[in-house]
Amino acid sequence: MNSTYIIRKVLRALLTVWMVTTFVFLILRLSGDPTVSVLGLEASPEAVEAFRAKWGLDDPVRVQYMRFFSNAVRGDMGDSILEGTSALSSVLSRLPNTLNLMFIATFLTFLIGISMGLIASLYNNTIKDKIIMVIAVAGFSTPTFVVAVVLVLIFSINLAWLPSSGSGTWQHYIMPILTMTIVEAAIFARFTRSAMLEVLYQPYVKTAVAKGLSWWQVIRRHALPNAAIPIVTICGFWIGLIIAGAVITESIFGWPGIGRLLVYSVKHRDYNVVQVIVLLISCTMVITNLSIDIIYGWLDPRVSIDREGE
Amino acid sequence: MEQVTEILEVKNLSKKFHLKKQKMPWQKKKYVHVLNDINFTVNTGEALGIVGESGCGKSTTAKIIMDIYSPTSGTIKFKSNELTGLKGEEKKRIRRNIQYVFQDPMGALNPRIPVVEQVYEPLIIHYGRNIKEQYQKAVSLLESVGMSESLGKMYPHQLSGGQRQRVVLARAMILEPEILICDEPISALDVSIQSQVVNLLMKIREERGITLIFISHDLSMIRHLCDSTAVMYMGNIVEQGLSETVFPNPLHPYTKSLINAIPIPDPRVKREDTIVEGEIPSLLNPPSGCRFHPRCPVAMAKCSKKVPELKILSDGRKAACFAVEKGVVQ
Amino acid sequence: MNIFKPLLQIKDLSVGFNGAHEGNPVVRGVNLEVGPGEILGIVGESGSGKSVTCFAVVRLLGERGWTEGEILFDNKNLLECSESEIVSVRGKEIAMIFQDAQSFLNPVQSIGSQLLEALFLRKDLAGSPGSVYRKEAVKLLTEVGIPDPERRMGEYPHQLSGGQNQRAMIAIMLAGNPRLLIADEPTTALDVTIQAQIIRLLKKICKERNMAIIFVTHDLGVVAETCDRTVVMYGGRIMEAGPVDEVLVKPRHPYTFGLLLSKPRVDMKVKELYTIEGVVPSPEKLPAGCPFFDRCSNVIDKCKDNPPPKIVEGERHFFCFNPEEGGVVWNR
Repeated sequence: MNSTYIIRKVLRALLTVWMVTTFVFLILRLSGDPTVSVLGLEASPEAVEAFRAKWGLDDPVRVQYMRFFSNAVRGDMGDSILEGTSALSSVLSRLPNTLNLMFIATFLTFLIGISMGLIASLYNNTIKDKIIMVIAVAGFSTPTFVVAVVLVLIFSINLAWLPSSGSGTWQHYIMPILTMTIVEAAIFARFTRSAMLEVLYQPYVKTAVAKGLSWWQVIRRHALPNAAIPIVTICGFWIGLIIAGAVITESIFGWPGIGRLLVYSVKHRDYNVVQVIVLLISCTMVITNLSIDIIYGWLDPRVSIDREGE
Repeated sequence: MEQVTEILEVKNLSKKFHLKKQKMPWQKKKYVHVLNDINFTVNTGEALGIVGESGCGKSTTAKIIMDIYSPTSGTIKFKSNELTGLKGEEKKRIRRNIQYVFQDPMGALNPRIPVVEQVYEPLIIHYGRNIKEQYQKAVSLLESVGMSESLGKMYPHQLSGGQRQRVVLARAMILEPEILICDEPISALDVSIQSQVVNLLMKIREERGITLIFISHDLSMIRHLCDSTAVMYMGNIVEQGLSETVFPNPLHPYTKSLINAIPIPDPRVKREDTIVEGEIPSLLNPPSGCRFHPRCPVAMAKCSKKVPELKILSDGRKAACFAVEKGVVQ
Repeated sequence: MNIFKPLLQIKDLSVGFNGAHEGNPVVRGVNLEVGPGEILGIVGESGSGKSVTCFAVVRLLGERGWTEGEILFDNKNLLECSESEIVSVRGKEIAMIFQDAQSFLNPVQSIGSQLLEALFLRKDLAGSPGSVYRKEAVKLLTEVGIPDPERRMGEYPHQLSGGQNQRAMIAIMLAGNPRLLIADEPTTALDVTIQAQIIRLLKKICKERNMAIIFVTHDLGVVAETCDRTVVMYGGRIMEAGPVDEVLVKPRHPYTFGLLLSKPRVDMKVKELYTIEGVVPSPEKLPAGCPFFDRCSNVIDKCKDNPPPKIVEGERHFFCFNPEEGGVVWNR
């Protein structure tokens, strides 16, 4: 791995972020404006005019875009139209709630998904493997919202053990985290299993055995490092999944995080807040993928030659 | 004696591939020179063997003749037609006189179509559809390569490697080409099957008077099958001549070491232990002068500075070596 | 007889795989032995069972493979040892190298660390400081003829040529000071000049370390240049076995005979290639008798259903009802 490789990746990442924000900007402008949401249907034409002039909505889209872009580059993302305060701070105030959920869910996903996948692959074609895979198939073929609704039905309505929405106590965490973990852990388990199985049939595993390593040494030193490469690769897709999962989960469980804010702001055309969230999400995605590329190059010495050599 | 006519002439053929390693627009493009100024002619009815180790450019030469790659410079003449500039209908008409057989018959066949249909498919492409007649022709051709009609109705995966290679051969023959280029056609086959295919090739040559270009790393097969041989090393022809001149008495040090390296299945034959040292250098960073000089047992100071030309020697063969010119090598 | 004491003795070995061709062994009744300082060539085409026999010796057949018979190494039956016993045999007593060295080396580990890993298993070096291991690694890489070994240790398989990878593989497998090296088509994927170098290297190692080598190949030329004795296999059975000087010069089995004559020679003009008609049999179609019967030019009635008798002639033996006369094959 060399510096040109990293510079190329960074340039490409910046381009991606710019394209995503521009695209969202245009889509939002094409799909109506916040006047009705804020002022209501009965507002007088003068009030509408004044509101549009205040937020610059009467300018052509091109002018609005230039203003947005030059402000954004200087770090000013504008104010929330609904709340009147800085869009950035209104997003940041909800960020910890979402991060809490995501960190716990991520940790559990990795722990459960990868370890189940490993067990399944090492006990391939035994009853352990089959049980794990049946659960995993059931898990990943169920949509997130169905999991959420079923959990609410069982634990809130029938058993009345857990609160169905809101935040605050540790009980509030359980169902959102379960919702986010079940589907993703199932995906990871399946993927880990197939990655491991593929590696276990590679010729170099035979060499490792022929050398005189014990079975466990073969797994630890030769199978795992090679299986880690495809697993790291899907982390890039997975970060997208977990964000999408957060949006749905937060909306269903009334969790005061960024996901719910995004849905609310889109509904009411709160342009600047949506823009901030989209920027945040695309930066997260891009940074994750960038670090995956770097980890990848570190895990697999072939990467900087093979991938660029084509 | 029959009159000797040239059927194919390859002149000053060079090929460089550029590496897509250029990461930033301001970096310089890198090239690999795969072929350097290749010249040879093939006479009608002759079998020419092109031999060499990996990276010598033997397959690239074939692929350029087949128009799979375009040459960086140089010309290829079929009879009196310049092949490189042809277009449209004329190209199709002239090109069908040259056919190609790949190393990997499984990859060259469509797994979902019965093989007999694949044999007559070229006829449809070149002459339009006339299934009944074309089917008959395909079946009789398959029979001539030792395959029954019932085998023709099978799919490639149902056939053995040798049978697949027969199918590919039949498909190449159906347009009645004048030149057949075989690119390592037997390397993937078992020894007992190789001789079947080679004997078949010899039979086809005898019956149809076809011109054969046989590309292989198997020197003994080349000696057996080909009238003349061109030995290539890192994109250059280093020695070329009649097989019965070159093989019993190779002159170029590379040809010598190559022939010496071929194991002979006769334990009574004891040969001097003259194994050439070192590896084939990377084409990305080829040695200066004669490309063989770092491994050459008779290299002189001159060899690292100048590229020796392929010169005609008194016995009619050509060799590109300063030591041969000087008479150092007998 | 001489005082030849075999290191490895395979007795009546049959190998099969559960699943695809259940109950149809791909190796049947194989007997062979190899002693220290000797190179034994196992030669055959695809499906002859030559590689499977070798994988059975180090018990690398996978879960689906089953074996019958005995594989005696130092009078210990390897087929009956426990898993931990066989682990202590692999690498330290019997090592193995393979056809395509690059794919048999771990792509994400440097050559050095793969070599050191094998050295760390050595009992006699246990407890030594790291520098001793490094020195030993450099020594091994030098022994197998890798130039500039210190630098190569930090490189990865994809940065090395095919020949270098095979040398590195040999070094890794020599790390445990094995007494038997099984080489499964080690030169098939290499260019001929590199093949010649690897063959010379293996012969040198065999001599210097007084090691036994089983050399598996499909090329009779390689056997003639490399081996002392050879075993010719076809369809999972041994056809002919004995000293190379006899088997490859005056073959008695029609298969050996045909195989020798179906390949041209680089050092002489062969008028016409002999053809063995037909195709290599697949394991589910093997007959009770000689697997070569349907392609054999000497076939007689009983060949199909009766296993041919073992005929011993001096140090050589073969299995055939109607053998060749045994004149020098090249004077035909």
